[in-house]
Amino acid sequence: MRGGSRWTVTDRVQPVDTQPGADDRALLRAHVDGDRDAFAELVRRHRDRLWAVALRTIGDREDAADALQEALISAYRSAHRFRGDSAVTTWLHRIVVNACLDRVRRRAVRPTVPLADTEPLPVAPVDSDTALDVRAALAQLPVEQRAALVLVDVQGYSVAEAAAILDVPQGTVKSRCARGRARLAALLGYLRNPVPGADVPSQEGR
Amino acid sequence: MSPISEADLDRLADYTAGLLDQRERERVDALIATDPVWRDAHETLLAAQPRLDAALAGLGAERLPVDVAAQLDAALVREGEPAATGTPVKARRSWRRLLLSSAAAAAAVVAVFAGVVALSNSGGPTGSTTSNGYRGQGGGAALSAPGRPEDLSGGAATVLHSGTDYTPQNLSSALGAGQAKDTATGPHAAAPNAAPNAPGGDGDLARLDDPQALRGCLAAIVARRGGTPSVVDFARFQGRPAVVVVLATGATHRIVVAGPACGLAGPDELYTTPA
Repeated sequence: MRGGSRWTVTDRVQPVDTQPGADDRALLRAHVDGDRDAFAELVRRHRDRLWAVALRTIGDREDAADALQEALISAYRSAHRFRGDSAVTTWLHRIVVNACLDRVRRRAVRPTVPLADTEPLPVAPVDSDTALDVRAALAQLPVEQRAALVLVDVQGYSVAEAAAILDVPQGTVKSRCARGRARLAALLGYLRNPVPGADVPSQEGR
Repeated sequence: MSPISEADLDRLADYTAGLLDQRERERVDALIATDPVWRDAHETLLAAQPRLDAALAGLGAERLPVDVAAQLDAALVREGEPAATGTPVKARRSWRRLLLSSAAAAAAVVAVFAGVVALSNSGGPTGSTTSNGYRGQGGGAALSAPGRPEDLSGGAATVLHSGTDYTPQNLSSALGAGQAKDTATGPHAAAPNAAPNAPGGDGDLARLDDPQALRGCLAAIVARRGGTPSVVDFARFQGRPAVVVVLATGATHRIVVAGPACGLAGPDELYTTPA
């Protein structure tokens, strides 16, 4: 039993998925109460999504693995401080995303050169659609835009969820996503010829 | 179109997302109405949206690679271990439970320090382990708890019971065997785990839950293919129960897929990747 726990749960957690959110909380409580298996089960439930966010945000497999492990160890240790004002999965994502952002900033891995306001945004030499091209372009975005884009446009979280994870207003998430998409379009060459084989592009918006 | 500046593209992006205040929006309205560069940029940015959606969707889902999962699980287990030396009581109980119950074994991961190179080593179960205590939910690898057997000096093989249904296409990427980065996506990604105890599933591999039987299996594989087993996954291959073994030889890897009869009269090899 860990000391300093705010929780006083006495029942053992059962692996019932009728209320996944509530079950996550029960698992976290069980972990805080000393159940050595509970946190692993909690991680097991969410690790694929957490991994996807880490990998897409960092863009490097080894760094993403390190960030994920660092984040989940941090969560393991700080679980007693979880206040319960968000979903457990949001809390886990927040810790993972912050670990990724810290790692990217610390290592200054962003490969792009900041452009002067008056310089044109570079565009890809050819239209690119492969996943490899998209991943490479994604890695060139400013990390804040990348993180928002990964959460909303790649992983499918709502703007509200992404805002909670990133701890920023929803409007900031929307702007980061919009700007990230525009830059991505430029990097992928979509802005020169946005519809392959079509002389006149449609004007369909999102 | 003529490209516009980075700052103008940000402004245009906010405009298309409806995020500008009225005054700024009216300014951009005027630019689009009067400046061909802005008009073209606006039109092409709008037109690019479906293609962007498709490109981002094409990144596909990601499953945590088995090797990363094993490292993560091991780190979490270490985090939970008491500072005192010795195998935790609970872990020892779990190891016994693992041996006694194939149902438990199907959802557990064991770190076996089997000295898999020096397979002639004889000894009892050589790894401490812990079972997760919960039924898996398709998560594959669970906890692994490295032990410190004193009588063994060989390499360590992580034993998993992921239940993943592998194919020749997803084998390398799914096991993270030093192949191309970040490739466990797309149409060849490993299928979600089968239920570990489904009929004809992992239970067909119950014989290999016995460490001696597993050693015999690995010995047969190593005798044929060489290398050092680094990962052993009780899984499936093209729908059939199979043990997937990653053999490391220096910087290269080979993945061997063995059937349930592995070790009885050879490796019962179903498939192998090139070395």
